[in-house]
Amino acid sequence: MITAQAVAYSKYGEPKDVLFTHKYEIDDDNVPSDSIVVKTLGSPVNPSDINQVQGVYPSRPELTKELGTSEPAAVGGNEGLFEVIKVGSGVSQFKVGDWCVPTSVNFGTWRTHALCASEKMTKLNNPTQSKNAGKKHSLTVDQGATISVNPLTALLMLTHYVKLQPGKDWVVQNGANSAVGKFVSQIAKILGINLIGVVRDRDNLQALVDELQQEYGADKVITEEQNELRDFSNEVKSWVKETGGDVKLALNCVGGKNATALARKLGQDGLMLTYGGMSFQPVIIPTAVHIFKNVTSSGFWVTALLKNDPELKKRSLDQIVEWYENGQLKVAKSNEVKFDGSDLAKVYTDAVANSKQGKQLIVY
Amino acid sequence: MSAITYGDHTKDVEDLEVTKFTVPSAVELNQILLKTLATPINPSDLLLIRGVYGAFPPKVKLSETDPVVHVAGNEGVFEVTKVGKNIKGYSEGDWVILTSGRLGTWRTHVLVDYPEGGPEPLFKVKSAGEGGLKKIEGATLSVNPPTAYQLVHNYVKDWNSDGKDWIVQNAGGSHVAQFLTQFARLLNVNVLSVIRGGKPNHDEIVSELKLLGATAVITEEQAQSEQFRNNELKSIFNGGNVRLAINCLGGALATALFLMLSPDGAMVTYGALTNDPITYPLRWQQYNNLTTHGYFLTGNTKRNPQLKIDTLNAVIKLYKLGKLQVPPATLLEFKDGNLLDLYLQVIKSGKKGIVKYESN
Ligand SMILES: NC(=O)c1ccc[n+]([C@@H]2O[C@H](COP(=O)([O-])OP(=O)(O)OC[C@H]3O[C@@H](n4cnc5c(N)ncnc54)[C@H](OP(=O)(O)O)[C@@H]3O)[C@@H](O)[C@H]2O)c1
Ligand SMILES: NC(=O)c1ccc[n+]([C@@H]2O[C@H](COP(=O)([O-])OP(=O)(O)OC[C@H]3O[C@@H](n4cnc5c(N)ncnc54)[C@H](OP(=O)(O)O)[C@@H]3O)[C@@H](O)[C@H]2O)c1
Repeated sequence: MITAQAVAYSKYGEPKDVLFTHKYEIDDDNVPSDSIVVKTLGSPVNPSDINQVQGVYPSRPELTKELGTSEPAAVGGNEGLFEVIKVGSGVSQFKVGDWCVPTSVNFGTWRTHALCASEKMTKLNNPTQSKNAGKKHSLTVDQGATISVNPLTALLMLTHYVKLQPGKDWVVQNGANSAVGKFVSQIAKILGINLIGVVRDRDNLQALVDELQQEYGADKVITEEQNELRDFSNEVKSWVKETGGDVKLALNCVGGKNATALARKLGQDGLMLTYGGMSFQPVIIPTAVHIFKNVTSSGFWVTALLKNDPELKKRSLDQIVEWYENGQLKVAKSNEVKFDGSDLAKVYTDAVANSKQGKQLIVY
Repeated sequence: MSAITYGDHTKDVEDLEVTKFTVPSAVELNQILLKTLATPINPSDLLLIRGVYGAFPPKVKLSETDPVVHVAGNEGVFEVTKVGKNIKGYSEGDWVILTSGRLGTWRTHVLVDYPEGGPEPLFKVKSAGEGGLKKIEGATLSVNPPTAYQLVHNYVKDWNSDGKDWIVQNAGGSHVAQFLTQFARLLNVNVLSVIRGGKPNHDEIVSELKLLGATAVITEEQAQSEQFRNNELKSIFNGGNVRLAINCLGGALATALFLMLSPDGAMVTYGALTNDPITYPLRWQQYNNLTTHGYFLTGNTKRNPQLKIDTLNAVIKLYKLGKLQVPPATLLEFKDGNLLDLYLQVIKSGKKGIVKYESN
């Protein structure tokens, strides 16, 4: 018997008010033939996880009594890295020691262990397997635990919509200091696409600019003020002219004036993808940008895009793993919090509270 | 021969002038002489004169001997009266429209240079003696019907004919909107038109729009009310799929349309009559997978000239089949007297007008 813990909620609200620790038993001596038992290596707190607990996210798990809670409940968290510790007799694609990530969202990853049908998990190479396969690097827990949302979002936004000519074309993004933004910069670099990143001004701006350029490969980093300044667009035009391409894609996770200025930077027929709304302001697009520049503005939501396309998900995941294993991609570093066996719900509510200071990852 | 012209310092329609000119009794080998049958007065004609579009288009030669000027007007239908010997495909009596607005259309005659190998300056809408197209239909052919037609056909390619698909549009009383309504109804697509309320003849306007095919007509106030959208509007749509929103205004009235869209829908902006930008809630876009586009007929035509030709032919065919009509407009006839007075009369009325050149 394993005594597992999960961070659950039975009503929607602020995480600190509604999350509770639920303890339950997993009978690991009698695993159903099609199932596996996994233990958690790490799971992060993403903005969408918080929105899900608040009840303001349109994709959400059903509340059930499956884990033996007195009220119907769901377990928080959507991504995480797990290690297989028991395998049902009919399962061939996993063996003990394999690493895996949930195949779909809404798995409930804020927990110590899980018993699940084997197809609910997708296998990734564990360090021994990578080494035996002759890879330069193996996945870290941080990389594996955060692989499903942000790297895939960055990759798909850059490759799924607009044909970008390496060396010539430009992408402009705001929230360049976000986890997604850092993946966007790195993947653009790998693909040879020029990139302008917009960040909020701060006291030690130069340090951030250096970090984004040197560590993550952003070509240009500008502040929100520069982004919104009409005069500054000449500067941008001269960069673009030099490469002989165009600004074809804008990635917006902020909204408001910042997004308007982003849209204005697009060239003829450009596309703006909105994937987040950190400022809680609407998208505002000048009509001339729409009519005369033929700019299109669309939403991006990785969950909806991949829900009906497991093939695309698999291909994208493989690509990210390959880049991690050959050392081309770095994880946007998380603040790791080690679970010390105390109250799991408290660990996650603290992480939610700290998430404004950077991505929080709970490791086990 | 007269033309309504303007100069470098023109600021508004008050500064328009009449310029007299002559046309040759015989045309050169590469020239065609046209006489004007009818021209409309469009909002964009006035905006151009008022400098809203920036610099004026280049001046044009009225004839070999007369001064170069700006001629007002962008649309009209003309009859071919003389054809230069080198020009194939046109005969006296054919009806044509100009493929570019540059020559100006508010004039009794146009002498067209037909450069060999150059861009085609004319488009034939009807051969001499052929019936089936009225002057007012030809006069208003080149801008609003193709705009409306492309708005309906370019963004949604798989309209369902089961009567459950919807288009919602603001400025629902505009000519573009009334053409759009007719094209949508031909596909059995429903149309919700939003109009300004509070006019004394509101009910009359609503029934006119419904007569042309609008499934429902609501006021701007209703469109902006969340209460209305969540209740009355739900029963109007009756579970239907709102796939396309057509915005000509911007600001809050564009937002209102955006919020009516069903998942995977699109909003297309083709006008900016309020001058306000397009604003919409970001998460709404993200989670419902909504897209916003801009539409510009001139841009489309530049990119793909054949698209405009195909669209015009499709529209003409519908006119000839009697399936399309020009929305109500004030009709004025020019016989003799002052051409400018006639145009100003329409402009000052603020109504949509078409001038027929009866003396020609
Ligand atoms: N659509 C999708 O499928 C999808 C997938 C993944 C993520 N997302 C979204 O992408 C966004 C970023 O996610 P993440 O995990 O990368 O976040 P993160 O690492 O926590 O970063 C958040 C970023 O937002 C910036 N920010 C916060 N408030 C802001 C404001 N008012 N104005 C401007 N910038 C502000 C922060 O800038 P500072 O550095 O200046 O603090 C920081 O760079 C979130 O909105 C998330 O929901 C969407
Ligand atoms: N993008 C393109 O390629 C393209 C092509 C053709 C036309 N257009 C544009 O389409 C628009 C309509 O052209 P049209 O010839 O069909 O015009 P129209 O027949 O003259 O109609 C204009 C309509 O706009 C409404 N309107 C004007 N200002 C308004 C305001 N501030 N708030 C609400 N409603 C307002 C009027 O309402 P009332 O009846 O209540 O006065 C009227 O119904 C113009 O802006 C034109 O420039 C664009």
